[in-house]
Amino acid sequence: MKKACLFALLALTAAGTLFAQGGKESSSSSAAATTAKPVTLRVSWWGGDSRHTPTLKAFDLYHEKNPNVTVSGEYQGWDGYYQKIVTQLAGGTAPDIMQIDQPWLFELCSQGDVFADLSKEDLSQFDAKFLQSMCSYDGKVMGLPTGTNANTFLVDVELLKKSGIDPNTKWTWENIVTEGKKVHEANPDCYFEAGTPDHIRFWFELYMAQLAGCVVKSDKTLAFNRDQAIQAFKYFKSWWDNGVSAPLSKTSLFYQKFDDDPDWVTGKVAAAWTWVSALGKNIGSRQNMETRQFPVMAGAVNTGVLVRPSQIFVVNNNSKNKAEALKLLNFLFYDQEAIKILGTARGIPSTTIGRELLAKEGKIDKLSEVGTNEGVAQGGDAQSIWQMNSQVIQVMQDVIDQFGYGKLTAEQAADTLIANLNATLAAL
Amino acid sequence: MKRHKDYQYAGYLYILPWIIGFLSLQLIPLINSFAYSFTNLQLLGTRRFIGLENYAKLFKDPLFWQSMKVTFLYVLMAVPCKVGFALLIAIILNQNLKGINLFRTLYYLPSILGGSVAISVLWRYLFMDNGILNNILSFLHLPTHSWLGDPRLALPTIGLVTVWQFGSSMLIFLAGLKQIPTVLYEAAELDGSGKLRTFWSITLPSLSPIVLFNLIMQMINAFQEFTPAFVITQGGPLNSTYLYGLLLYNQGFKFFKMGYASALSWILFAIILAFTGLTFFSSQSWVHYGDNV
Amino acid sequence: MRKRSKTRTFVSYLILILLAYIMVYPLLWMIGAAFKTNAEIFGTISLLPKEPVYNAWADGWRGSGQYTFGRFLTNSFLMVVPTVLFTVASSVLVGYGFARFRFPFKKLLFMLMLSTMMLPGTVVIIPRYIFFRKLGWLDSYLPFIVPAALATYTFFNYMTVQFFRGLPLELDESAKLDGCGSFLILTRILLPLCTSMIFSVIVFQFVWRWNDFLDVLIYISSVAKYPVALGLRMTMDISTDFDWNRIMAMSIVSILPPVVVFFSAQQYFVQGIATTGMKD
Repeated sequence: MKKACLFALLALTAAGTLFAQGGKESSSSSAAATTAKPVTLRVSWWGGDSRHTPTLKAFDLYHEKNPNVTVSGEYQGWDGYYQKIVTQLAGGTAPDIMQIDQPWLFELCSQGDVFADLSKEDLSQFDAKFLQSMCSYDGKVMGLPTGTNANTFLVDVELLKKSGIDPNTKWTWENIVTEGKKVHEANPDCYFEAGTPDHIRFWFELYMAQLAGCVVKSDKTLAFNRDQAIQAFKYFKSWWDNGVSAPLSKTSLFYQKFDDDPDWVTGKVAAAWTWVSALGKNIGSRQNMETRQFPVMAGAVNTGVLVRPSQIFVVNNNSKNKAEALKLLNFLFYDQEAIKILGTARGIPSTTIGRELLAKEGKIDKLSEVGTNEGVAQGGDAQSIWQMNSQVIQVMQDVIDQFGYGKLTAEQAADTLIANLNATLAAL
Repeated sequence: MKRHKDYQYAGYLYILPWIIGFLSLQLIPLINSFAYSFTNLQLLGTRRFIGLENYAKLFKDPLFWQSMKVTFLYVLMAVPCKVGFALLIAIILNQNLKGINLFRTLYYLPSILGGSVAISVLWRYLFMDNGILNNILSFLHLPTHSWLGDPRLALPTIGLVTVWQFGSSMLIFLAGLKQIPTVLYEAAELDGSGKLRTFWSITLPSLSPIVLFNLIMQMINAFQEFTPAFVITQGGPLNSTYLYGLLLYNQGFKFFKMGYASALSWILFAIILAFTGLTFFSSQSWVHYGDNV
Repeated sequence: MRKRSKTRTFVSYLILILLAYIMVYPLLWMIGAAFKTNAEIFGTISLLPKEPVYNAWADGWRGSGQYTFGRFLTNSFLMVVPTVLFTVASSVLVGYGFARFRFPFKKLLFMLMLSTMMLPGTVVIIPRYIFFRKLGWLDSYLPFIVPAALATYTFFNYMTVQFFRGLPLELDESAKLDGCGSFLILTRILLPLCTSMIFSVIVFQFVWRWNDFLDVLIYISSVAKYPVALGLRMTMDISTDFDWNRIMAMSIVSILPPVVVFFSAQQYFVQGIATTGMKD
């Protein structure tokens, strides 16, 4: 009896294995498909409903026009998406087309030839400089930008007025402190900037870009010197000293999600650095929000304001349906109907045709349009791949945190930053 | 009982599923990860043998030591609290009170809810500066704190979240309590033992295999803990909640240093093994099994 | 049994109720939040919604258009139920084997089994993924079910060992004298005394598999096969707006099955082994 029981278990397992293998191989056997052969394309992306629904609709349309191609969307939320992509790339099972975040491109490309080289495709609809600085690795175009995204400075006009600040102030590094502190002075519960640790880091990078060109240059060396770092740290200390932003002990809980902070949601924070693509989520139900341009130092070589793709579509280099994948991308980027269906699900399109068509249809939301235009107008140099490296970011964040918690003086913070950045860069 | 000196080979048959499972499913990835720890493996399999370099580097990594410190503190705090609390509640719930079924379910709820996405929002809410906890404290005229924003308090706060999910340990204790033959209690009552003495002389010894089990499992889990630090604090503030599990994850999946992460894993493996071994060794003096009466 | 004193009962209840509030608070909050707008969820700390909205349940259930939440619930059952059944069967066998038999290398094998729990899962993710790909198991529930059948959810093996070892050996002895084989001793004598253990295995494995996110995230790639853990997070983005009340509502729906399983299993925790079998 016991033997029978064990055997049954084993048999079940074995059967399961066979069964699974039988089902699996069929889809990939349609390898080098001639156009008429049925093809299944796997496309993965993260997002919310506002992205899932139109994307699926566009795929349906594509299937209607190309009955031999079935597009299967592998969509999910943000949580875990990157890990899944990473695992799939490592396991050789990545989808044919993937939506990735721009900062991942370099890190993934540095791991090997994971994405197909798109340099030979017709890319005339895209801004060549944008493609070259944001979507290329080693001189080859590795992906196509789904939309244009830019840094923007979001302010609550009403709260500024209430605090006795002219809402049309042209912001400078000085008046962020001298004017910005009025918000906290008018109401001790309120602050000018959201001030989460990641925000302070972004502002710090912006400041350094204007002061020294950037943090880490493309030759892997530091662009700034000790004095400049001290100056920057001292400047941001004045934010906390003057109540421009709340202390880190209060904001650290909302690291990378300042818009979940009840103080932000209930309108106790007047302004925030952010990306245009996130405006809708940032604003939520807040009223009277407008975008402003960033402060720029006199004599700054680089504004530090970032303009980058909202996301990037890449084609898996191991895909057996590369040609079909490219055709689908062509459709998504250039087909009039597809453009209309997709709308701004992935930001304001970075193709000329897409932008024009959506503008004509009135599908671009005013605030995003203004924010993008302002950002692009102010746009600075792209950050070097070293500055965008996740370990380098971690080093900057750690030093800023320690400084913000008062564990380091400005001088010590500058020394630590330089030493740790150099050590990390040397190991990369 | 020396009668059992003869081997009973039928035992192999019973553990056969696991032997097959171990050999076919677990062994290969295990060996792989051990081998990887001697390489500079990146994400996509490009790797070079670098000997003990990962292990040497690890001891010079300040973050390694920080997360060691954090993890040991966490284990020391969370494990005894959780196991003790679970035992206490199990004993209370083991009474024949009216409505006890409902309470049992309510107490297990946190363990069902624990990993829910919705809950991660609530944690921030409970512990933020003007959050629920501080509101209650100030209502009671007690000092408020920046629970998750203060590097000294963040780890204990996360420990609290872990203890809150004591349901599984509690359930195992309950199951264990139910297994204690009532004749033992009846005998104790005949002897006129008090409640407390009965607990020490009957309940605890009979429950000791289960106590050991909970202790070992909670220890293994706590050393590898990852979720609360990942979801609630991301290791901050000032790396004060940078648990070893988070270090591993970041090295592997954020920085793609799979070789290094493998080395980190095997160090943790050795530590857990040592502590489990010690616990087992000590258990000889306090665990009483029904099979070697 | 002596009669319980009234004060003792009162104190017991007081503690129970106070604690129960802490345990249940999150659920109450989630229920409240399912009727709030994002602004209210994040803006206030009150439990009850001020201006309740009622569309979260229907909208959440409908999902993104391709599949309803019902699909994800079904998938979760398809994945979890076989896994739980196999876990019970395999862990009972393995636990019995380790607890009641003497055989060469037993200690070594037991330590080996325990040690598989001590290596953090993180670094094994990719080797395991590649291994399952070679077997062709990706995008199916086999990476969960087969390990259950082959007793590699080691926690449960160890748990059953401890419970079996807590049972007096005299039970087996007397049954052996009556001519029972080892399998009959297991099924006729020991298992009936271990119902609470078996139901613990069922409850734990059910809850853990049901809630598991990281493994399903990696192994399941077709949306059509997503279990609830993935379905729940499917619309949560960092940059585009989504309604938290839908997430809350569906979170509540998704914990119902584990709660029901627990509630119906718990009557077995009440039955002790009473005076059974002990002739000493």
